[in-house]
Amino acid sequence: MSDQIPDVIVEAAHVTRSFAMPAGDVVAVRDITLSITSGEHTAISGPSGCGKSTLLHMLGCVDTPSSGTLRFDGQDISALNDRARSLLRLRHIGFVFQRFFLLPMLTAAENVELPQSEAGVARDERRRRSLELLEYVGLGARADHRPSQLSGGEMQRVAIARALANRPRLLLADEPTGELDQATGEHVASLLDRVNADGTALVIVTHDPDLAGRARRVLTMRDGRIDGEVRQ
Amino acid sequence: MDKLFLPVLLGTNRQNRNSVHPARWLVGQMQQRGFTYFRQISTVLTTITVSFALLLITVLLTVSVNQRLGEVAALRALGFSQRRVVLDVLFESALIVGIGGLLSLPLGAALAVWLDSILKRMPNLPAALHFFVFDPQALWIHGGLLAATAVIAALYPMRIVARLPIAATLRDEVTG
Repeated sequence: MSDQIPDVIVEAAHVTRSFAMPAGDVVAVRDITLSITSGEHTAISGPSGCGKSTLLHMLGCVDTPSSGTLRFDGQDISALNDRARSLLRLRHIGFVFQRFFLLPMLTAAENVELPQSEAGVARDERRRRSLELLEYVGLGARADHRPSQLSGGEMQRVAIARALANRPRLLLADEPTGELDQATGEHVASLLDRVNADGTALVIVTHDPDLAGRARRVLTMRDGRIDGEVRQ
Repeated sequence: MDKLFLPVLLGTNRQNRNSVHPARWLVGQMQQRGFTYFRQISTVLTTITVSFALLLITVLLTVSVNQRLGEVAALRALGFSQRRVVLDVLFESALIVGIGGLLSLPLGAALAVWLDSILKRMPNLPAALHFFVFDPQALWIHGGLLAATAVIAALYPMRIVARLPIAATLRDEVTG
């Protein structure tokens, strides 16, 4: 084990997120304090509606806490405007979604090129990196296929390649195997393990105990709070 | 509408019809007034057409954007700026209007030739008279109207995309 102290990527301190509803405020996340360090593999599990996705969205800087402090690389997220948060996500955070959200009119390679295009990467470099990533996820031969020509597992692998396009330090996955059968989900889970082993910090939200069990740190949530933490 | 013009069209102004041939008289009137009526009718038809096109493109874009809210939210989560996704909607609008505008030029020219040939069947018209004459200025007006249509039609869908709550949209897309 390395003697180096891992650097903290994202740090939440007494974070609460509530939503205004006609019947009164609904508190999705209550007073959570946690940090994610580089190279870490964390799973957040718990029943539906316990606040896992809301917490993930805050860790990914797509949502801001109602109270408490959230820092990414030491920067207070609440103090950043939308443009700065977008730039931060573009450069440092990758997202994998349950429903893939690939653009149907683009090929697999073009989908992977998208975040690089937003980051201003030159066309040739984008293409090279996209093909490299598609090879990495085992879909080098399907680069010119559109999402409609791919299976669910293949689409999720393209989505993982897209999330890695700008070499993020943190990869967030929200129920990445939720729409896949067990065998395909296992394949995607192995790929995520490999991404983490190659140095990217990984946070997975899942209610699948098998997927959560692959993480070195498992946080269990209930009613918006972290109910338990297991390190393995 | 002019009181003299209408009776000639309807054939009820016998005095005028008896003294001068109605077609010649009509052409004389139109030439005197610089085809004002023709231009007015053309303006009314253009306004109606542009209004319908505007409405149609707004509806098309709004439906299209609403069907892709999940994808837009995902792109925003991946770091796409608000400006970029809003400009994408504007580009889409410009593309639809631009393709329509380009197609309308040959179609409009063909329609003008056809209508001209019909109108010229009226008896006793001078051979050199044409009801539809190409005016280069019309191209600029056409371009201006297209640009305005593209921008105005995209305003509402651009607003939807600009104000899209990323986290809530991602959550809603999964929970349905």
